[in-house]
Amino acid sequence: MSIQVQGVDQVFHGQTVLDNLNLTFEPNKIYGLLGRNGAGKSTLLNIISNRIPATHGTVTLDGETVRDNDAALGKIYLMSEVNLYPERARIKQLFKTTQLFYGDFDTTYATKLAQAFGLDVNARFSKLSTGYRTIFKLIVALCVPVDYVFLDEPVLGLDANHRELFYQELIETYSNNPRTFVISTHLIEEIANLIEHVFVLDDHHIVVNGEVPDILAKSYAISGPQTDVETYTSGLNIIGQDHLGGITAHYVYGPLDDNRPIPDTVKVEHLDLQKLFVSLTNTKEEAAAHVN
Amino acid sequence: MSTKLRATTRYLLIDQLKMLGAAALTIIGLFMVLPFLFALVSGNLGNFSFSNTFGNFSWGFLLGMFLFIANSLTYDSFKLLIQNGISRKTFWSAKVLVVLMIAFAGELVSALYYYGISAPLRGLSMHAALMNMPYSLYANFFGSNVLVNVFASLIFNAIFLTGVGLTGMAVGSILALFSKWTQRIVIVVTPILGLFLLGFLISTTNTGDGYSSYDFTGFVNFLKFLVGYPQHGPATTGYFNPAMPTITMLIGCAIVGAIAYFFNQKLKIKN
Amino acid sequence: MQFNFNSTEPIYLQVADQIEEAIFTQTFAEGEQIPSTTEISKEFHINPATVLKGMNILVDANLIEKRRGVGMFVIAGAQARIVEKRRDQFYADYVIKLVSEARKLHITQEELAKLIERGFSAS
Repeated sequence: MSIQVQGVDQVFHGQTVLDNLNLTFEPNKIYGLLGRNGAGKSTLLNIISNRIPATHGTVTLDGETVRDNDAALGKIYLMSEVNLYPERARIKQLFKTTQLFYGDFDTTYATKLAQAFGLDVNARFSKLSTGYRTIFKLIVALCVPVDYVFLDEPVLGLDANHRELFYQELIETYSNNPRTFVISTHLIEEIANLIEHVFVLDDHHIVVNGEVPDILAKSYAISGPQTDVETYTSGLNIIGQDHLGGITAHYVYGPLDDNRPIPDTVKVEHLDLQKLFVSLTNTKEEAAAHVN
Repeated sequence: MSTKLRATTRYLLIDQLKMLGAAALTIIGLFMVLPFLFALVSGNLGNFSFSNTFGNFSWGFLLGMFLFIANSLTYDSFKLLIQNGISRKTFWSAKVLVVLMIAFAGELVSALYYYGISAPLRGLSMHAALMNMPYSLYANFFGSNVLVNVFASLIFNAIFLTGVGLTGMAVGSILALFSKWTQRIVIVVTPILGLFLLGFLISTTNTGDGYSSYDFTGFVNFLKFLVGYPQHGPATTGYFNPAMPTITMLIGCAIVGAIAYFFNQKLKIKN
Repeated sequence: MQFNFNSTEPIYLQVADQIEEAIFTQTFAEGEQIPSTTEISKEFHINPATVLKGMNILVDANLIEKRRGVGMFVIAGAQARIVEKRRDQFYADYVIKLVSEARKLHITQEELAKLIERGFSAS
């Protein structure tokens, strides 16, 4: 019981977009898929939902390939930034269309959500603003009877109130009917405590793959006078640094040296998910801008 | 038939029937109602001919055009279906079913119009009406019972329309591989290239003195064989054998259907 | 209910701490129902499994109990148990730090005792 991505490569016009990805989505968990623009998140999601073929590798759901497989594809819903709905269709028609294809659809809940978000179900899709297109797709994602829901940029164009409402409804429906959600977003702080497991995609590779508490437990911010910090962190996996006045902070991802005493002047704290992400995925130039 | 295939077929069928309805209404408006209104307004109602306006119209031709165009539209359906977890294979199967349904039901309806409205308006008997169709080559093959021959023509035409629909599917799924711009270029350039090729063929085969520089006897014989030209006895219109062209069309359907399937498998979402 | 979360401690521990604090201050009185996992989860965008993990710490500590089909309730005597636990931790959590800081500031034992007396009389 899971979705398995095995050895997936994606090459577009001779350029590698994804390089040998291996990851597993287990049932009833909330995942975060983080990556910078162009890291290949949408490509990965498109491969999982069989919208595009992978150059190499396989995606299976409960051991069966998703490729050209109605049974597997019927258990997956990908809410994407690209709009695949007919422009002229009315919202309530699109709810019905979804019901026709997925076999079931929580129309009552969809109607309730449309009301809560202020989405006019009689409007045509083409007349909706970016924010309301997102809202429409979110409502479908929350009401469709699938085991795996992939949300690519689920809060694009949503104001703070609607984002709040979305997170609340997500938790509500997840609590009532647990299933897997995979959230791909740039607003890391908003989902940091919501996700159980995180994948970070950077430079065509998965650079972080683990349970959030485990990942944060081995992410450190070590700060103090420069020489003391440097002595303490030498040889460790330093992923970034900041300088402010005489204080230096080194960000370390991975185990500390237990045999090394922590100097009194040095403070060891844990990083939050956003800081960890930024440090891990900064380019050399961006990292250099912090050190001056 | 799986639930997914049934749902997809239902969706595509309703979609195409809506389009067909709109196309039919447009045609009726343009070619029947408008001339009538013109005649009414300009006071020429006396010269308005019902039999010309309603009698000469070929629904079969409209149906062929429709099946080709409607089934060449691929990407819009594909993107909605893949968004809803429907595989490419099911998309293809459903579309083939829709083509068959519209071809056969459409042919029946257009025949009802042809023999029930068109022919009487033009004062033609059923047999005379049948002889006015492309099928006239085979119109007497099944003996003197005109109904049997009309029925055979229905099957024959429906298979032809199916082939047209499947060809539309094949062309559409090939076009769907390209970007919008490339598609437009292909649509414009292909007919021009085709014309050039035709001109080239004519110029090389026709030496000007009426004799071809190549021996086409074999090719011509093959074509005769394909259309069911009688191999023994006189070649009289109405007595050609429809079995051969039917088999040819079925093979053609299988080939374009396979091409459509192959390129359908290559469909993907564009960013 | 107002929770304050920081980034340095695992979230499930913070959930447990915050609920414990609310029981200690009697925001959640003994015998009363506390908010459900889903309610806390929704309010603070915390994964329900994480919230449950935090609650289970309090169940194990005999502070709250699950009533099937209804929810979580504060056990009678929970506040007293928290007081007892905090008394046990008082020396480690406050006294040691207090003395260590006092040494850094060259505050003598007598001076510190006087300061403590002052603190008591001021409040």
